[in-house]
Amino acid sequence: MSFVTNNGIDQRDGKLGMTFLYVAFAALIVGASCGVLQGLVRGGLIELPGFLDYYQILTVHGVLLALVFTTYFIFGFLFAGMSKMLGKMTSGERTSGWIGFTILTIGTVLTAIMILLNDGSVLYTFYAPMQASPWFYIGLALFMIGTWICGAAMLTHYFRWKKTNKGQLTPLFSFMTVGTILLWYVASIGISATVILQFIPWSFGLVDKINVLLSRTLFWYFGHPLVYFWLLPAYMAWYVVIPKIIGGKLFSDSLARLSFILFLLFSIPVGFHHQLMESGIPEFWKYLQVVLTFAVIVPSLLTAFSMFATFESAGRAQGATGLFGWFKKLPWHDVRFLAPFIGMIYFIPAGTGGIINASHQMNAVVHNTLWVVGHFHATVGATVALTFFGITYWLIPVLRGRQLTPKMNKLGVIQTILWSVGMFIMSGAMHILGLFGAPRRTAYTTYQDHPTALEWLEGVFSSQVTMAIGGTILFVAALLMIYNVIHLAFLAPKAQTEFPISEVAEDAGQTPRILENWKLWIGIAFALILFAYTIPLWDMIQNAPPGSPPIRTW
Amino acid sequence: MHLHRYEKYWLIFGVGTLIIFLSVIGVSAFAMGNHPPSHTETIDPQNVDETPPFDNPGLEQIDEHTYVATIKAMTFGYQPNEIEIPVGSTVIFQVTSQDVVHSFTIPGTNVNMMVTPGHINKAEHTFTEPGSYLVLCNEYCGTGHHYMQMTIEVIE
Amino acid sequence: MSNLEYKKSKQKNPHTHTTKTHEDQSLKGTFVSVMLLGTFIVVAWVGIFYLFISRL
Ligand code: HEM
Ligand SMILES: [Cu+2]
Ligand SMILES: [Cu+2]
Repeated sequence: MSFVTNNGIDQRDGKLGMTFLYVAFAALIVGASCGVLQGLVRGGLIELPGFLDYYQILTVHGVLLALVFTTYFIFGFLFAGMSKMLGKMTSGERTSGWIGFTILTIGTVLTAIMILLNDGSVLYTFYAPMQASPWFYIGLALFMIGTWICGAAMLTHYFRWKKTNKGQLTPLFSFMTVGTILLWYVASIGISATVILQFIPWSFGLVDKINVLLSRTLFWYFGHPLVYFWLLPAYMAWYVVIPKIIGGKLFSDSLARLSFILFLLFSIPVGFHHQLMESGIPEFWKYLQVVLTFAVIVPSLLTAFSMFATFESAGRAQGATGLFGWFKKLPWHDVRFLAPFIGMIYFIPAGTGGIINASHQMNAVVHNTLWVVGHFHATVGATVALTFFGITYWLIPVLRGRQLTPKMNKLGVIQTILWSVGMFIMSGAMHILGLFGAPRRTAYTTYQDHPTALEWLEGVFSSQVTMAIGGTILFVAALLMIYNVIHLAFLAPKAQTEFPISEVAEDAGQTPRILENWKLWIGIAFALILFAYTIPLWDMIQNAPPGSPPIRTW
Repeated sequence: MHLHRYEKYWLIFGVGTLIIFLSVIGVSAFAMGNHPPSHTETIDPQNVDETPPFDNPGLEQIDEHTYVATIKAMTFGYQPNEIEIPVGSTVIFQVTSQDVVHSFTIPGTNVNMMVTPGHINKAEHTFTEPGSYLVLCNEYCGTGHHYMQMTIEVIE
Repeated sequence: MSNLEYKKSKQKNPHTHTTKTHEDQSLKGTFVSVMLLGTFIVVAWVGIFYLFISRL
């Protein structure tokens, strides 16, 4: 296929997708600015001006990057892709998309205002019994409602397609979108329950105490699938887009679908792996969820094989020989490939770190240390973010009817390298510091010059100064990304740009239809959730200690 | 659904590895007692000061080499904020919070537990090296979070 | 490729699909790569487990 083709997305759908992307990148730059400040503060290189509190900017950073950047990017990408793959949305579907966007944005703004007023410095996990302004929680609730409406628009689109194309295999992109949205729906039960039933009444003073353990458990019931909600769209790009960019084919359609089903089943009943060091949850139930957590590693093992196989097959089809000859055939100069590829490589240490974190008692070595911060900057900050950047380099041109010029491609490559290097330095230093016990979520401190803490400011790769240097490089990369986004959206020459979707895999005809039996999978997902959570949750409510009154400690 | 031969080998290796990991930590936890801190005893977080043993926090020797340290976590410190033990002692830490969520963490050891209001958490450690051990809170608990610390002096 | 085209070219009757397996492809490089990945996982995990044991 030649490079310039019809980009095939209804303009009105494209506008909806693009609007999400604008918000995503606005969040990225504000979030990254906070990030670099955090790094510099922790390295002891700067002090924040009196009107800024470390924990306030840390809250902004966590909310804007982990919640806003990711969610908006994902919806922008999925709306665009669904319109491309299934044809344009009906005006009803599109209107739902806009209503969802509006509610989501009102929620975001409301929460942001509360944080800026210093009425919400509770970090993005908002652990009780620290209590923010009620409007902080109302904003979160609106955020969730907005995402449901957007998700409903996509589900409607998908089921409409299925109805008019009876008996046909749905395009892989749409299948994966539905898997991701369903995962989000099931996951959001937890956060909605705690925000609506616990936090909102409590913060308005309707009830005076809160069950702390229950709220944490409901949060983490949501918190783990949340990270898969970030990861799955990146996997979508790996499975559906990358093969096309490298001039190959997806290795296997059915295995791709199978891996998404496994994520849907196993990424929810595992929240206890974030509460392994916590009182009130018996060892047995922790271990049970650790086992289920290990099950959710399997689809990533499948994905690793599929990716390498896709690369090798493509390389061999282009004449590569030898064990690793295919490696040289990959389009290293194409940012649309390079960025997500480095993202994949980051997932090797990132995923490994995840296995370590989830290993029951071993979690004591790393829990709430900087190791964890290093871990999720490798997962979401590198793997997911780099893949999203890679998508951006073609998606914005597609949606804006413009072109990724060779010069812009080169800037993209530079941006990718800067981000990768910055992240390597920062995340690497964080991992090591964590093993020495340096705490996360902690402003600059030497603990009254205690020798243990002073060590965290010395050393070459095990120092918070190194972390700050990495953070500074990252910030430069983020600035460059913003320039690139502006260029692609407003300045690049007008042209038709291809939405890269790989050809259907050869085995697609044999894809078992049971993989698309969503009722069945949701049923099993709920069965697993009930199995893993019913008894411990019951116990938390029945044997609850007296609750906690609200406290404001900032 | 078709699996390539190499993919089968890879999955067998991968899943086998995961099963080995799970067995190792399972045996270490359930057979050798290296559990993560998971104490389930509850307490009224508003009455910690009146509830034994937290009405009288501090160190108590229970046999020749074993101590129980009863510690209250609060914004932004611990009570007591220093304990002294001879080298070679085993200390059982029992900790609760009288306000928000904290942690009780000794860098360089496996003592790293969450301290949530309403529950008492426990961890145990044997101090085989003399020195001054830093205890810190690694869960955000408010503006003074980074000042929250205590020390354990392990003397010859 | 337009949406229509996509459907036409890709959604042939699934039941008449020829059964082509992957077996004839050489995936040696893939296998070596994933095994290296597996080795990394094992080494890192064992390293941290050792750290845990040494800190008991
Ligand atoms: C310019 C790039 C970035 C820099 C310099 C940076 C820096 C940092 C630093 C230093 C911390 C640790 C603060 C602490 O624990 O005391 C942190 C926390 C965090 N970062 Fe980043 N980061 C960057 C990008 C990202 C991205 C892209 C994401 C996610 C998409 C992200 C998500 C988070 C989250 C969720 C936290 C934890 C917040 C919390 O503990 O409540 N960061 N970041
Ligand atoms: Cu998790
Ligand atoms: Cu604290």
